[in-house]
Amino acid sequence: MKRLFYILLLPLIVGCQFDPTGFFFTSDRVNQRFDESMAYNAAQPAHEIETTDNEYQILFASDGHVGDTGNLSKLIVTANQLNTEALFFTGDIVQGKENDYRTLYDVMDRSFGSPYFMSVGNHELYYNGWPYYAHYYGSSVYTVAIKTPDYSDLVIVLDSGSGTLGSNQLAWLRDILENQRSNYRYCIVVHHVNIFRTRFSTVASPVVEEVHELVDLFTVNHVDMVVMGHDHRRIIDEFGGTSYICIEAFADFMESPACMLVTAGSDELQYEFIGL
Amino acid sequence: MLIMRSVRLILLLTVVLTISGFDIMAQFTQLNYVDIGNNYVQNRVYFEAASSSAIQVENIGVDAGILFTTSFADNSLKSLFAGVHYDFTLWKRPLRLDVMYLHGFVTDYVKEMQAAIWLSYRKNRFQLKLGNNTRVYGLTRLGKTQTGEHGSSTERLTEPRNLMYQFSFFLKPELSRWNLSINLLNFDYFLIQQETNPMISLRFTYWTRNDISLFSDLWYRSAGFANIRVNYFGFFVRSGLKWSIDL
Repeated sequence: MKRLFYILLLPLIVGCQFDPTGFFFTSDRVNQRFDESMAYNAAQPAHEIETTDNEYQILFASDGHVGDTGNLSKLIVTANQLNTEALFFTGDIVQGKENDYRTLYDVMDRSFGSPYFMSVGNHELYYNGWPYYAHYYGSSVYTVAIKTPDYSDLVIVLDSGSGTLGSNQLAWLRDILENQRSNYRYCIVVHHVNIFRTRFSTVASPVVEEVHELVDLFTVNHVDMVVMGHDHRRIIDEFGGTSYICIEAFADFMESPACMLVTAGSDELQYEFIGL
Repeated sequence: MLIMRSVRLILLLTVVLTISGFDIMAQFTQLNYVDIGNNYVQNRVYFEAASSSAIQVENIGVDAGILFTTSFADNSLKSLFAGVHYDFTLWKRPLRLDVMYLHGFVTDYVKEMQAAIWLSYRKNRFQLKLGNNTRVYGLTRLGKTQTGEHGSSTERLTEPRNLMYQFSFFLKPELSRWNLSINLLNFDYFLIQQETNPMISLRFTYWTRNDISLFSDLWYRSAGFANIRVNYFGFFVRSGLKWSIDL
């Protein structure tokens, strides 16, 4: 009977599109990933995009779950047609296996002409995925400055793949927002995990104390937009002058895959969703 | 306003019942504890001290509590709660229904208001609590002024449904002089986590007299369980005293 149970359980575990060992322990730690990211950042030039106009467009897409690349190809076509300044991925773009990273890297390298920026979701970490992420993309925590003729805007990319930012990343975020936010016109934060639970959800949110800290930081420092994923569906919340937008997944298994186009206008950030 | 009304009501009930309650079964319970811990948000050792009082008459009780912390830079008051509970029997099973309002002073800009309802059931060495809470984040007066969101729809955000749960196993039967319990739960006196963020605690209780118990807890907290990427978040230890006085 016991053997039968394990026999029945085994294919379930093997067939899962996740790494079930992560319920109990993880080989990587968020503080360790942050430290490695900062070391990588220090050795690289800061990310900067220059635009020719004060008004520009950037694209956000989440939860592609590559292996499969059908909707990734559609996303690239859309991004190329829109001629956006950059494409930001908000996590779970791969399933976590090395082949998935290689597939994504090759497809983007071959087909996409503008800069694109990765972030870590929980899936990037499955199957001991962090070393592969680090190999292909280097850092999971960084900033991108978008310089227009008259202004500078800031995109902050965070690593919330473990469901928490960890102490070091939180301190870094606090420092950036308190000391640098005023140098920029708009500020957008990329955070894979949905911060609020205004709709029923079975997936993770940051623990309550971390939600308190993030909401306070974003409110006090006038963060314009927080772009998230993870829930695989569109959820738009507004609090304290900040838009918290969870975008739907663009994975091949989605019925209505979409991405989000953000237009930095003269007065405000505007967003629209584009079906793939 | 609601908090002040609740506190006033509890004080009034306490006085009235103390004066007039000699011919009915009434009990006053005082609970005090301190927490020492560390987590990713604090990133240093923090201290918290809590006090709550409850009065029970027959099978109805009211309680209220206050929590102070060293977490905040310029304010030590962290949370207040006021609640009502009702003991009853259903299908020969003793149950308790709790209703609570919890107010959190999150920061100078942000406050948190929660309403919770849960049912408790204990049989032999097992205890189960199940319920639901609604959490509302709101801007404080300063927050509204500073963000210019006064009167706008974005000054509040509601998380309507969140499952509350506690599963406990006790090493010894209920009336033992000491006991050890292990608990899987997502809520505590002043904290209600999201349903996807379970906590684990170990409690040792020792009854010095029939009416006084001392307890000590060890709590482990993780994040990312529902991400299937569990990561340490924090821990704390708790020491406290519970004193029940028959009136």
